[in-house]
Amino acid sequence: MTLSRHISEALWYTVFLIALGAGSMAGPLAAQTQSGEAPQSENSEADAPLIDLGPLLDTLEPETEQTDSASDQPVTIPEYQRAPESGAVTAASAVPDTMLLPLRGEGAGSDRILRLSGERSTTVLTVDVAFPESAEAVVLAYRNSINVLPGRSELLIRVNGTQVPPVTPAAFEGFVNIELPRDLLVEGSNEIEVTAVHAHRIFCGPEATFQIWTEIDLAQSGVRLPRGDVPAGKESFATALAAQMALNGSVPVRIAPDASAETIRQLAVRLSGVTGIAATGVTRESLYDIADPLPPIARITVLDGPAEPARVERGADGAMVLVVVRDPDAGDGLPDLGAELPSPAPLEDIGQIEPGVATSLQDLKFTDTNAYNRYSEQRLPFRLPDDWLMLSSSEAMLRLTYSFAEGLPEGAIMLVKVNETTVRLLPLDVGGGEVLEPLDIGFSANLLKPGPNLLNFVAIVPGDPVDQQCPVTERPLVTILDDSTLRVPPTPHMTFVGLRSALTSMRADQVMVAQTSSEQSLTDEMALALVSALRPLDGRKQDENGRLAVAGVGTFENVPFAGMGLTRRELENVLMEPMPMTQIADETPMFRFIPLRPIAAGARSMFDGFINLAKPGDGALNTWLEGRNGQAVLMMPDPEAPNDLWLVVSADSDPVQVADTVSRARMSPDGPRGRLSILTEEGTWQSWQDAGAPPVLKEPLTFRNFRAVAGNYASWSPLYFSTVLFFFTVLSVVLALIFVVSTRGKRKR
Amino acid sequence: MNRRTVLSGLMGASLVPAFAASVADAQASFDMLTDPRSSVSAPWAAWKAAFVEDDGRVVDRLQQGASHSESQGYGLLLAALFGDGPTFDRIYQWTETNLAVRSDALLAWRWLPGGNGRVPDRNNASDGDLFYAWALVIRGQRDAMPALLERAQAIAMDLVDKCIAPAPDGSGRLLLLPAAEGFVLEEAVIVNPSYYMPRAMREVARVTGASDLSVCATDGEQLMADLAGMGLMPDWIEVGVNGISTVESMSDRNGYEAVRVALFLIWSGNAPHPAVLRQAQAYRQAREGDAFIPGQFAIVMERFSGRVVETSADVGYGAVAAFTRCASSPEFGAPIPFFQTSGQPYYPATLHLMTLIAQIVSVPECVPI
Repeated sequence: MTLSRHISEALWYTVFLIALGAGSMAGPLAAQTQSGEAPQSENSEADAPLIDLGPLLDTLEPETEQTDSASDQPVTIPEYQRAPESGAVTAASAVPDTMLLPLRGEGAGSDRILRLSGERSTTVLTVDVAFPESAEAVVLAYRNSINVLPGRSELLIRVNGTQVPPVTPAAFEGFVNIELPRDLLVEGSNEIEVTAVHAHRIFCGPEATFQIWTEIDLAQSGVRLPRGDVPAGKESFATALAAQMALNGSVPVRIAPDASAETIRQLAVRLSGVTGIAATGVTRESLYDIADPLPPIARITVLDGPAEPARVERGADGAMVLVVVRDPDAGDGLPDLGAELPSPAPLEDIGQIEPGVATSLQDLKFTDTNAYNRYSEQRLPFRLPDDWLMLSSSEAMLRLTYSFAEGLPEGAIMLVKVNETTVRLLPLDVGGGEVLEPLDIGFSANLLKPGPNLLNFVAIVPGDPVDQQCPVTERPLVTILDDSTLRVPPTPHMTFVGLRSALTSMRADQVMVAQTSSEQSLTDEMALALVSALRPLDGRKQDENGRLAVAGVGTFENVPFAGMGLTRRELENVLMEPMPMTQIADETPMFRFIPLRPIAAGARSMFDGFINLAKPGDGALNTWLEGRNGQAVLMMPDPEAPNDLWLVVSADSDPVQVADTVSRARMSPDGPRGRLSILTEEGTWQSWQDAGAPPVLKEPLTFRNFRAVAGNYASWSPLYFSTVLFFFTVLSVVLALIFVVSTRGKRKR
Repeated sequence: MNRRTVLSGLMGASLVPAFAASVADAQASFDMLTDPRSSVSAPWAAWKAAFVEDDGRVVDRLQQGASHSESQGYGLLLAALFGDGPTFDRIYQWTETNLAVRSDALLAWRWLPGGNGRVPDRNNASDGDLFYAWALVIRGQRDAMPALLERAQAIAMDLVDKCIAPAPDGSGRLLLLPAAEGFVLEEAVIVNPSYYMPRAMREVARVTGASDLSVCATDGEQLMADLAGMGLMPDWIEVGVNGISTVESMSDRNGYEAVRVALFLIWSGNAPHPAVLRQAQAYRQAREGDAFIPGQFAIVMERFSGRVVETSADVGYGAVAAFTRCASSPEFGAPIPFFQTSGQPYYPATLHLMTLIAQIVSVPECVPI
């Protein structure tokens, strides 16, 4: 239409120019521009000499002469089909009718599948239910290995202490739901204890133990509730939040994009109270982000406005929403969330042993007393003081009281291990059937470390015969009585420089993000996950000077790695994806005396041994790092600032998983130590101990502790200790000589 | 009034303050919508991806894949509000090429993708024209594009000329006809209350000088207040010599048409309007009633009882409902569904996006939770 008008105007100007030149000719020419229509010109022959342009302009508006009603086409009135056609279902209705409050349990993998292996294995699962009367169903999704013999296997389930009829495992082709009675649920926390009793179809023995299992899919197991029936409130929010975390491991927080990170941090700290030791992902979303395809069960929305008490509402997507309205002018603080998100209590730590005092295993929180499997491990992690250090030879004592089943086959044994070193092998194939007299098991105390340690009882009971099913028994094969005691010798207060102690004391408010320009979201996410995970350990004091800085691979300029004698490239190599194997040029000289290689190797070995005597540890860091890879590096750049730690994460690391591992490492005997530790892709820690840092005495040197202190130094570096000793000896000799010579009479000089 | 008169009026000194104020309003809305704090860029991107074709055609698949002046007008407005120049240009170009086929400045109301005549008839739809002109005004002012203002001017003048009529009841009110043809009966006219968008009418009137549009907006609000005194807004009504009555063979329920009334009133800064309060009350009843089903939103209600006749799973209707409830209450935060186009047709999705805009611009307290 615009185009046609421009054409009309152009034509009009043409006509106008002609009219200027030809006066009375304007009328006919104008008429020729009307595309066949009969214009009702208001011009008259008499007016023509006046060249009145106004009427001519109106005349040349072509469309004004045309009426739409005059068109041949029929005229309809605008009406629209707004409703979908009958039967059409729109995907927008995908708000689930029900929600599952999933079960929680220790030992599940990232896929939320928990395996119960062996002849008999038990787990306790929990679920919080605010309104048990609303429950539609309580389900347990399980499957079992093909080796399980159904006729002699069963799942024994207790719901809040009440035994339900045993279930014969028969889920060989995939997960199958067991429906549990709803009426056994109670308001609040519910416990579902599952004991899987398995028999192998063919074999019996330690190998067979690993082949018979039942798996529980925690993500598909739990209490199913109709979404609409649960009233919004703080109880239902707590339930929904626990379910959200158990199911997704993260909670969406809708907040203005420019809201301070501190506000989110405060929420993350509060959220840590819901998950225990596990890290929680806090997914920050804009207030106007588009909807998630799968709506969350719970969410937090933070709005800026006049501060008001937090409230719980049901979102349009069915999520239970904690609405927090905060006054942006009142700083980063949140309103009181004590009712909806109470401040988390400290985490229960592993058992702590006091050096010099025989401590019962019960006091060390040992609960796994009975072993039923042909291969079993009964693990007892416990903590020694951070400043306990025993490098010299001294004896610790385990006074073990135990029993084992009568008539176990020949070759049945139990290994007693301390930090994975076997300190005693006990036969289980002689006697049995009664509790034995306490057995003193002494072991070298230098197997123990400051911080978390592990005492492990490994029982191996062969089949008899191997190619037949194991005899049915409900009695444990081995029982460790928890009145057994462990005594660890006291030591002077000494420590090695290392990051473990600082990490154990670290709190959420000491996590910070190194200022970065790129990868900000990753490091922010990482820091948030750490904040949610670093819940304080019960009885552990915070170090006021502690700091855990988080950095990403692409922002190394902030990481003080030079203090560790590292180059940027060396650290990058650890955190980058390993390059595919390529042909590496052999840098060995082309001409060499091959027969000399063993000699050189021997010399090198001797040299290394000598160096190790002088400076024990892991050698140069650069050398130690060669060939190692991981998803994160935890390090202490400056030994003079032992509480200042850095966590550098690779670009493809999972923040929640890393934070979870870091948090758990505080109580793990396999956690990070030394000045630098690599978190491998498998989730284990590889630690580097600085060779140049001697143990540090944290108390005055006295006659009483001199021997132990000297022993530790001597054990740390025999050569160094001998050199010092030699120096003092020489000095003594010289002083003695000076004394003798100076005190002789002149006659004898 | 011809074009020259209008242009001279537009540029005349008397309109300069109004023009400046309108520019400021438009800029303020633009700033709010593009502010990172309330950025609706993700919903806008999703809306565009779902409904705008490369050539600028806004597709309503429920109408046989048709496009109409309403969809083009809505699309052009959204592009203008979000400052999305390229999308604006594409929609504008397509509309000018395909719908600006009438002898006046108004748009043909429908374009069908198949068949011989892609524009089956040349009747217009006044709401489509109104939103289209509003979009031109917004973009024209913000980016100083006189050609767009000129086009808006022409539309506004023709709207006044052909789609505004005096009420037959002798009240002296001006009524907005749904189209230039087909809605004037012997002794009555048919009105669709949801075609009134007071904010758009006033802004277009202020910039173009088509002052009858502004008068009509005020009269329409009064008409709706009268209707609210009787019940919920109906989709269609007839205003005759004896007053207001229902239209035979047209819906007098509060349904797919009337769902826009409260939204447009709130967007126009008139949240306390009786029609909004009445609608909010009906939505509350629907939500608290025994028949409430989570995930289903009331869309058709009996005008007088408020009984829910039809629900929809399209969250856009839920957005309008939640927003309406919130706008008439002191609540901070509203359970407005998050935007989605997955499975949601053009119409509810567009209302959904408009709800978010109206919330940011007019009722910032009702942030979606």
